[in-house]
Amino acid sequence: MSDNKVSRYRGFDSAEWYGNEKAAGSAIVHFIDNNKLGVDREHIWFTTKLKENSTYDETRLSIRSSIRKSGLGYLDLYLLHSPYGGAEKRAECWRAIEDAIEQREVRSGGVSNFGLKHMKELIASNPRHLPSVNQIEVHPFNTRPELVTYCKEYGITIEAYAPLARGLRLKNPTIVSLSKHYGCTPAQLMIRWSLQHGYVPLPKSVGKERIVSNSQVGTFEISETDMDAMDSLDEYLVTDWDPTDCD
Amino acid sequence: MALIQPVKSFTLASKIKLNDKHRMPLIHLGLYQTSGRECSEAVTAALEAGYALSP
Repeated sequence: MSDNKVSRYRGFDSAEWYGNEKAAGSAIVHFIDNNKLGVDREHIWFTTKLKENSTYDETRLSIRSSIRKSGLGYLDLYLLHSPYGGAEKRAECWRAIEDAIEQREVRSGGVSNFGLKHMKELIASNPRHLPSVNQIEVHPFNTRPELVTYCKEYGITIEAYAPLARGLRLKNPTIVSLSKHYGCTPAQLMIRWSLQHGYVPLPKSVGKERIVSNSQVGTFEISETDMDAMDSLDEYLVTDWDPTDCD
Repeated sequence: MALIQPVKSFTLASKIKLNDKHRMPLIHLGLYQTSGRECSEAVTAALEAGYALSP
């Protein structure tokens, strides 16, 4: 069976901060070593993130430590987890990611929780490598139109964390009525919204059934009118932290 | 009258091309606030998701 025909997750979003690079990496390595379907390291996309913007050297060390902990040999995507620490540290840590890309420790480099001013600052510095993604909280209750539009201009992909708004709005009347209309769950509706906007959603779930159902979003399409109705639910809902406006 | 368009299908095998030309999966499993055994089990379940659906 070709790998493309099996509905298996290939992307995993970890972080130094989550303390699960080892647990996640080991599970992936175990699967790779034991599957008989030809699933190999290069079929997997493993993302992890720098906990704290400190110095160039610390960043390079953190990258190597993440590689070691995960046991995966290299990182597919490495992000600055937040813009905290100020302009100088952001620039220095970004330079470390660029060098890690050039030395093949990291395939692709990006940022997370960067607001408009942080994106503008990074792009104005004329970096050797543009960030490939900005991972931010985006869902119908926090749509961040300005930031998203700016990232698009530079071909920077939006990765949407908390695409289900951490479950806080699954009973919202619009969400409930649209999910009935499309014959899907509220979670599937919100994930599909994210995909139709061109984002990469990162739904979190630890239950097997939800992990599977969160990926079953291919059989319906939200109409333009209903996408607009969902967009208008925006209330700048922040479900955790919001560093996008920090100095 | 609205025209019927084919549904744009997104699957776990779908990929997006990044601005550095790498092709990245379109849907990822978020591992926020998941650690230890719970994390390994979630990752394993996600890697095996397809088998749970169709043998």
